[in-house]
Amino acid sequence: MSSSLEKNMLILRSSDGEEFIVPEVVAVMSKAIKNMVEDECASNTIPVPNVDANILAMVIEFCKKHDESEAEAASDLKTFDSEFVNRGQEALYDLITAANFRDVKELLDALCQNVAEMIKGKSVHHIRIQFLGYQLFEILTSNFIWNIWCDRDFD
Amino acid sequence: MSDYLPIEVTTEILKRLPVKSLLRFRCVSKTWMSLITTPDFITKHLITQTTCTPRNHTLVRYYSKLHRKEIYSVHSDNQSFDDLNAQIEFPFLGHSRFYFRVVGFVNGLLCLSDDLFGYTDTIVLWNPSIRRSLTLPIPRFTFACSGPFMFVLGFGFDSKTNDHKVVRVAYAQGDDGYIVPPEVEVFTIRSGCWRDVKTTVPYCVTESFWTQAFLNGSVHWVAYKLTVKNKERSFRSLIMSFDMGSEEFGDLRIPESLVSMSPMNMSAAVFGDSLSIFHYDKRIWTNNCSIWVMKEYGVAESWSNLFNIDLEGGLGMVLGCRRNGDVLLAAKGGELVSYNCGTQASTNILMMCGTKDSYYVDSYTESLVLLIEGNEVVGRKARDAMSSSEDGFPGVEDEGEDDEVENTELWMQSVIVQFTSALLNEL
Repeated sequence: MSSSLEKNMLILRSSDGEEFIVPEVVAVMSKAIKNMVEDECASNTIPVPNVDANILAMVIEFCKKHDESEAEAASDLKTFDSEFVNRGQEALYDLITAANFRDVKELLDALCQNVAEMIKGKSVHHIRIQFLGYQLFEILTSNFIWNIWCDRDFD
Repeated sequence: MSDYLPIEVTTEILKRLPVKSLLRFRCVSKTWMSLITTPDFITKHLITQTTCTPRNHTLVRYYSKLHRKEIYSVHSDNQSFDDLNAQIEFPFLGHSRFYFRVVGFVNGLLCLSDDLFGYTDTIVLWNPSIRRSLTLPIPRFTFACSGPFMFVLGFGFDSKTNDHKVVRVAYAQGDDGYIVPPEVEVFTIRSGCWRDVKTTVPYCVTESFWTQAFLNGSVHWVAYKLTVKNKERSFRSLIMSFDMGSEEFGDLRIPESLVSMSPMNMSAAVFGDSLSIFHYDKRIWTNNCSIWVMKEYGVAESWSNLFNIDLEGGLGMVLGCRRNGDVLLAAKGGELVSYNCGTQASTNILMMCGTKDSYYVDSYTESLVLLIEGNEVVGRKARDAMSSSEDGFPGVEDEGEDDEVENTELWMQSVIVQFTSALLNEL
């Protein structure tokens, strides 16, 4: 409960029920949470649906680092960002969804930049299968005409 | 990723990709195709690319006397000025003589005008990175309907409407010089047509020698105001600007020492990131050039003379500035030269057999502009194959051509110099 909390601290509850106590300045890096705080509908624990404890912990870690290091050299933060976002596809996907849903701009920027670097040089088929999770069947049927068009040379 | 990402996240990812990847990824899915080809996405991509990517590539254009065509190439702006193996096929045929005037290069888009070797109204926009171009319709004000005239063009980007615009300022020839205010027309890519703009701007721009500087949302040209009192002509030089957003003309003061100098000997340019003037001692057979920059835009007191370059040793024309502070120049012999202002040493970085006046240099960017509006351009290879089967592409046997370019350049320039000096000083 907020009364037992130190001032300027908030409780975030993940979709699987775990609670995190974070400073308000860190929590409001999420625009969605910021709006809730400003509208004063966040006196109690703030539920963060669709985000499990694992991912929420990561998001909080990211926001804390960015909050602390405002004065730090930008290059240090960049290194942190690129290491932070260097994760497996599953975690990346969950992080992107969380960052987008909770509107954490810095995190979304860093993640999107990372995905862009990942797919930059990849082939169309690679993107379809690896990135978008297309099934071979779909490619063969619905995209048949499309594939013929794709075989044109754009480079 | 096992699931689909929301469209706004896909946009966020795709807008960070280079043009080449995006052209390829149009065929990933119908969603991606329709996303990549929306004006909204093209603008987002443009803004991301222009603000986030470092500008470390340089576009070079010159007319090769050997190949008898315009050559466009991209180089990295490092010590060795490496050719990125990216010679760009120049796709346009049927221009009057040797090469087009490069009006400007904005957001990966070249604006070319075929007016250097005679009267034509051909203006094209060309995006070399996606090989698309757009030929502008014929403007309303032409020789056929208005008799002799001269014009200047401006090419830039209006960040309010996210549209690219070409402005054409045409001056009809009267009994006593050129008539002001000029006839002004504006073309926008989105509308695809010319539209008249009313103005009372009393300034005139020097015929043919004009260059544009697009900066802070406005196009700038060196101009002059002519006053006739008791049949005595006098002029003062200045910078005329045209705001691409509000479509209004304005003026900027130039350094006090240049106000009474002939506008013919000055070129407007963007040097580093500042508005600048290259002032030559004379237009033809130049001996030196002084480079002035307006350190704080709009503040006339901030004009400062960066340096003077002695051109007597074979250098010819100032083109621009490199990231390391060196100046790029075209030599009288047709090479591209990098000049260090501290040591005054110059090194040839492109041993090309070009012509001095055909050089154009700008920092290179890529964009998707014209992906929707433009037409796909046929590469030179395909076209050469077509033309050679018809009439046999002329070889290099005609030796006379080499001098012809330079002779024609010189002839055109001296005619205009004579005419303009007469106009300004009165015979």
